[in-house]
Amino acid sequence: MKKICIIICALFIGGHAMAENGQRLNDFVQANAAYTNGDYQKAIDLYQKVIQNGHPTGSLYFNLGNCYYRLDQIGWAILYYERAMHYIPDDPDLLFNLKHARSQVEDQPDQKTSIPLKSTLNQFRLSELFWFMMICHIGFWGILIVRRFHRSEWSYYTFVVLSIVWAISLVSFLVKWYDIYYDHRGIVVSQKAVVRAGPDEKETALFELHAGSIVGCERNEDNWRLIQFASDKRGWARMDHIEPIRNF
Amino acid sequence: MIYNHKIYITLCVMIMLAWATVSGASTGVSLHLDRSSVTQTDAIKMTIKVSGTQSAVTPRVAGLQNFRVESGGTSSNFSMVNGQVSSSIDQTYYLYPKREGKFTIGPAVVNINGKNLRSNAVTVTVSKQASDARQQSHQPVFVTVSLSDTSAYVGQTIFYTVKFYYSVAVRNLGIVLPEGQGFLLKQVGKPAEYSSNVKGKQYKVIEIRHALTTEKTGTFNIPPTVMKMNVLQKQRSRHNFSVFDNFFTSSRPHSVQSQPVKLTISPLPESNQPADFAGLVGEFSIQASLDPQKTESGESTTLSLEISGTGNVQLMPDISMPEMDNIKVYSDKPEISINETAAGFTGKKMMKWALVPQKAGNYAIGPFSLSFFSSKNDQYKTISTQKMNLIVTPGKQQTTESQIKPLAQSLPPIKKEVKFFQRDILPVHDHSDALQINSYYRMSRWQRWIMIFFPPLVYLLVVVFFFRKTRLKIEKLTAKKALVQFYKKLSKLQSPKNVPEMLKLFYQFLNQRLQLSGGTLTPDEVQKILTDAGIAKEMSNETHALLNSLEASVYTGQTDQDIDVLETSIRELAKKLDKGIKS
Repeated sequence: MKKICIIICALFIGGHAMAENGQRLNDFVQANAAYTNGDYQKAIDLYQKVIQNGHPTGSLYFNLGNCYYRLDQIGWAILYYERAMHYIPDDPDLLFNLKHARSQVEDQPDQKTSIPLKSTLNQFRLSELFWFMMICHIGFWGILIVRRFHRSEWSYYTFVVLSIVWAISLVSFLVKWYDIYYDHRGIVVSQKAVVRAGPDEKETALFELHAGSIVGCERNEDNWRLIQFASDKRGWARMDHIEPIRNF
Repeated sequence: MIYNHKIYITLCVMIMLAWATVSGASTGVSLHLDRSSVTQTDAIKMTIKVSGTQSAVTPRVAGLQNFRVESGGTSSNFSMVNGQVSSSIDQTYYLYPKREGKFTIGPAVVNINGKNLRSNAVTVTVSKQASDARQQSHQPVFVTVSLSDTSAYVGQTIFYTVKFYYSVAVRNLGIVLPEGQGFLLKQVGKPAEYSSNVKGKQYKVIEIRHALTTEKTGTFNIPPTVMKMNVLQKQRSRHNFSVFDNFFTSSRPHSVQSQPVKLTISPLPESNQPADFAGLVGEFSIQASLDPQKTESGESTTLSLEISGTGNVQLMPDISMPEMDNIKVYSDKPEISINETAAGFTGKKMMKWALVPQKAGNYAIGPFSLSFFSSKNDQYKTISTQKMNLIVTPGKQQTTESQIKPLAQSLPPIKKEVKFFQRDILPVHDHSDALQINSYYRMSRWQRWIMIFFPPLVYLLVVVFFFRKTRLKIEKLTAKKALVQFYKKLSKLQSPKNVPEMLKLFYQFLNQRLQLSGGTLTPDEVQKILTDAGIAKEMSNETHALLNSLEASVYTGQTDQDIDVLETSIRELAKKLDKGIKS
């Protein structure tokens, strides 16, 4: 009796999961069709539904970015492309579209010095760095175990090499993880965002930003966000004008 | 593309890893002297580098009979460059020449894993000490200068060597070289540091070599070289032996200067000067090669010409290629490399031509000649390459246009920038992989933590288990040695032996042999433990009786047995118990 109950439960859960996946796939196909037919708003709703019914993926964010681009909402398009960059930073389609979208942003961003190692790291996905780190991690502790019983010259050299590679992989993973989970950047999603001296409409208007500009978000007060655009441009903007890239 | 790039990086890391493990095994021996020319009182630093090992070796070096040898210690090196691991041992020796002359040191022979490895051999010239060094030997610091030749030809490389001797501590050394006299001094190589003995006094020496060049002729009086420094002086503290002595030092500015030297520069002789002489002074060689030597008409062949030598190498001329009938000549840009060595400036100039014969036949290429003034023989020399033959066979029927084609193909095409007609984004991802969640995000946070902590946890378990096993092994060994220790201690007891001490030792033996914690046992407890340990009942009863009788003796102070008889019976019982207790 107990066994039958377990089998029924398993079938129910499995069936439910399969049904959910089927629904997601169905919504995804419909969203793609809507995009092809030019019904971009419907495609957006369906892609959002797919995300809500499961995990987000880089491709779903990429597709959302495309929909917003077609609707001429550059801010939202860049926002979703940037979110997709957390998942598929090496995707050539994404890099092409993001570059193209960025070229249409009105505001000139600060020229940042690129760090060579960081830019190399940006090409890798978090999952790739994680698995590379895990292989090195297992190798490192494995060689330590081997050296407990067998202290030979080859095991010493392997230990030295593995320690270095392990440290590099660990640092690389942590840097990437920190970059994603502590990404305080936000995107101007409205066509125009006025930045003021304080969190109030009565405060002095300092400057204005346009859709697609990337800003650094600091803290929120009521319905206002403290942002930093360039090294010398700082102020408060309405929360609905700036959307944070990190959404988890 | 990016994906391939990443695979490539990962593969490289793996290959580096594998290579790093393997490459440590390559072995080799090399012998190096810090200088090739010394005076009889100088010390030469000899380094024997044994690569590919970390174990100490004893080298056998040939040609050391003319030197007194002192060991300078051993250092081991381990390095990893671009993933390549190398390890080596440097053994340093100081050689003190016994006599003047030219000596060959080496090869050094080292035995590694039953295999004899031989190093290179080097030559060193030992000369007499300079007279001005002997004259100034009473000074704590002094400087000497010397010229490699006091009379030379214009264009010839002359070495101006400055030697700074010091027997006290000096800081902030500065050198003021003579200048503005129509000659130019350029430092060659790094300064050498060594020790030297001048009239029985030990000095440290810094030797700096300079190449002297001049375009003028005549006799030069080269002014003295001045060395400026701060000489450290120890101040006397009030106490004879104070820990602060080292802090009480002061420095005093001081300068010393060398003797001036004379140099005569003669013009190059005008008689017998070759027509193609371009001012080269030194020793040079010229080599030519043709590759391939047999070709078809319309196909190209490469003519290479290399001039190399020692002297004023910057003047090595461009050899001109003579016009040849039916051969089109395309010249390449000459490549020149100049090195500064202890022997002077050495250089190499490489010139290349592409020869495209237009007709079949045999063509004579060369010879090519080079003229220079040999400073060794004081005369002009003209050296030539061998005459080469280029055999050209008829090629396929080709038009003049097609003959030029290979050349045109070798030229890079003019590239145009690709321009966009219009700009747009790429389409959506509609493949089924778009919904695939990658493995990292599929895992929950605690699953990732478990994965990270699992390997160190396994290591920890291994360590704990390993240590436990080791501890048990030690305890077992101690138990096995318990009888020997008991006998030893019993024999060491001072006469007359007393019962309490013997009883104490017997309990210690039981504790050790039975691997107990070491607490005080009663005779009844001992009997029970022995029974549990599988000892025969008679033996455990005997032990019980003996312990009872010993304890009674301890408490009453009286014994009914002779102390020696008692000791013998304790020894025998201990022996029987040791045999009876299963380890």
